[in-house]
Parts: sequence; structure tokens; C-alpha cells
Amino acid sequence: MPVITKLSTICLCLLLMFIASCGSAPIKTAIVDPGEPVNRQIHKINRGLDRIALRPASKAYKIVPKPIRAGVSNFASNLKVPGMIINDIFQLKLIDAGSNSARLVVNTTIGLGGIFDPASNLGLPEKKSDFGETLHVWGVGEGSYVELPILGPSTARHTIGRVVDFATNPIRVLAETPEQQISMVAGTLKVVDQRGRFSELVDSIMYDSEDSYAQARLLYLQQRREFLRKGGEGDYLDPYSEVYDE
Amino acid sequence: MFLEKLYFKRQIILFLVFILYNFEGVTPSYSLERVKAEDLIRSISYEVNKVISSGLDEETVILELEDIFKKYADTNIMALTTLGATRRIASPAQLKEFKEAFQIYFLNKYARRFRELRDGKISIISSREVRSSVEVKTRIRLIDWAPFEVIWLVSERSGEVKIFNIIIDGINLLSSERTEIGVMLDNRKGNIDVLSSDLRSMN
Repeated sequence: MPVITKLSTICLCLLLMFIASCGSAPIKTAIVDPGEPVNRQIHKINRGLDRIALRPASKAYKIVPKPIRAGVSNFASNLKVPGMIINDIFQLKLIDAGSNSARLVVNTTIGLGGIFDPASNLGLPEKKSDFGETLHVWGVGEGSYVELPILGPSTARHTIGRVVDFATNPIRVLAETPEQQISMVAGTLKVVDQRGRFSELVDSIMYDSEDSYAQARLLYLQQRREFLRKGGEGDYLDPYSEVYDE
Repeated sequence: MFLEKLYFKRQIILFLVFILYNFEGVTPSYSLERVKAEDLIRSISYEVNKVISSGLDEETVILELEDIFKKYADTNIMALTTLGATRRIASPAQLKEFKEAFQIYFLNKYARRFRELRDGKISIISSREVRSSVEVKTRIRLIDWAPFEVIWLVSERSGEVKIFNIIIDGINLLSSERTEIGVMLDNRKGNIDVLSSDLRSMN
């Protein structure tokens, strides 16, 4: 039996190396949105939900003292780290996997179960990764743009990634029911808290816009592609060459 | 024999020098453009900090911030590029009017955002040349939030060193405005005069 597990581990490693060596998918610059009419309908609903639920909730939540809000968000973030480590390994980013593991250990122990975030001050910032990114690294293309109900803007690839991340989240799979619920609540509160961040900037771009759907789509695709680019040169437009060199 | 060896060695050394010279990171090539761009960002963050911590009333602060951005940002090129193809069919007078209206609209929309950076610390992380411009990457630390990145794109092609785009945590302001102005033009059946007057009156 141990021989078989060893063998299957080796096979898995070889498979991972093979997949990773295929090279990541190119990062698109265009917007592909064949489902636009449906997406626009969903956007209308989401906007309504944001207006009647999320935005008021984020304003109300601000009454809670800052340190407590930060603690809840830190706790929720810490629960996501195991999933990130798995994705780091899938992507063969072993340095990130190591750094995230060290972060998990430090914040779970010294940080009292993740309420505090001493790891960031020790030079171990969160190295975000998700299964959508893993698919990108494995060479899967972005797919079409979609706006998901409640969850908001996404792409086909990112949506599959979210489903896989949700289904395989070690905390969710291994933890007992009450812990699962605590993690869900903390995660939700973190979303509410983050809605407050850049709220005025995002509001002025989205809500004051004549086409909030187009703005939300652009905003999401820019941020997601920037995340996948990992500091690589952006596809900024050069207005000078566009205007002067024509 | 000896000379041949020496010649071979010399070739290797030249080759190594060539590799090192072309290897980014080894040559500390701090170009004049990058120095100028970083200086610009330093001045702008100094002036913004001075204004937002001045204790002046809100309206005055916003007006001062708008003045700072008027001085440091090339809103003309932003305006022209957001117009897209309409730029080529508009008359010089229409373009002039649009540029002015766009400046008012743009400053009104974004300058006040910098008021939210109170108690913020801005530090330059890196800069690099991207095509004909310089990209200055900064990190802004606020007390209640995790630090975030702001990228400033700077160019001298207008004749002066100026900012022509700002990317806040991945939100590219120029791209957003291109989309927005495009939509607004469509909604006004491509009428640039109506667009300009609407931009002026937006608040």
C-alpha cells in the first residue's frame, strides 16, 4: 500500500511538472463578451442587490471598531491560505508555497488563530493564488466574460476556478460544521468590509457612469489580468503615439 | 600559442562584459527620464500631502488638489485619446472646447479622491521605461487599510514632464475614461458639442 501511494505521488508530481511546462496562456487585451445581453440583465440585479444590501451593510459595518473589523478580515484571510498553498504547488511556485506556509504557521500561532497578522510585518505578505490562476498557468485560456449573480464579474476560467476552490477548500472539507459556519460568516464580513475600501472611487467610476456594466467589466478584467501578469509589463495604451503618430 | 590563448581569453571577457551590459539589473542605468519622472511623483505627493493635512475646509482642499493636478497632469492628451475616432472629424474649435470641458470633468471626478489619502504615506518602489514613457510604481500606506499600489505613467512628449495616466490598485483611469467618454458619445449620437457642454455641467 505505501508503495502505491509513493508511486501515485511521484506520478502526480510528474504530471504537474508536465502541465506546468506547457506554459501559461497568453493574457488577452480584448474584451470577449458574447453573452452580453444576459450579463447585462444579471448586472442590473446585482446592482440592485449592492444598492439595497451590500453598500448599506458596508456603511453600517463601519460602526464596528476598526481593530475588530481588521481582526475578522484577518481571520477570514488566514482560512484561505491553505487553499492558496495548494494552488502555489499546482503552479510549481514553490517559493510562494513556502512563504504562504510560513505565513499560515506564524499567523495561526503568534497571530492567535489568524486574528492578528504578524506575518506581514515579518516580510511574509500574502501571495494570493487561486485555481483560476492555476488554470491560466496550465495554459487554459481566459474564456468569455460573465457576470455571475451575487458574485459579480468573472470569466469562464475564473468561474471554474472559483467552483474548484470552493469544493476543495481544505478548511471547508476538513472542518466540523460550526467551524465551517464561522468561516463563512467571517468571509462574508470581509467582503462587506472590503466594499468600504475605495468605495468612493469605485462608486464614482461605476455608479456615476452612464454605463456601469461596461465599467464593471473593464474594471474586473483590468484587475484580474494585472493579477495574472505578476508585475509584467502592462498593456497600457500609449496615448501620445496614438494621437501624434497618426 | 600564448597569444592565441590570450586572444581567446579576451574574447571571453568581451563576451561576458557584453552579457552583463545587456543584463537588466546589473547595469544601473538610471536614465534621465526616470529621474525626472520620479522627481515629478515626489513633488506631487509632497504637494498633495501638504494640502490634505493643511486643515483647510473641504472645498478649498478640493480646489487646491485640482490645481495640483492641473499643473502635473496632461489632461489634453487624455481628452484627445478618450475621443477615439471622433477626434479626426471634430473641428479645432470643437476639440479645444472638449479639452477644456474634459479637464473640468476629470479633475472634478478624481482630484477629490486624493483627499481620502489623509495620513497616507506614499513611497516609490520602482520605475522603468515603457515605450516612450516612464512607469513609476508607488505604494500607498493608509492606517486602516492594507497598502496598495499606485502606478503613475509619465511622459515628456507634450514638451513638459507630465502624468498621463494613473493606475490605482489595477484601476486604470485612462482606460475607464476611454470607455466612459465612448459611451457618452454614443448616447449623444456622436455629438461632441452636446458632450462638451454636458461634461462642463456634471458635478
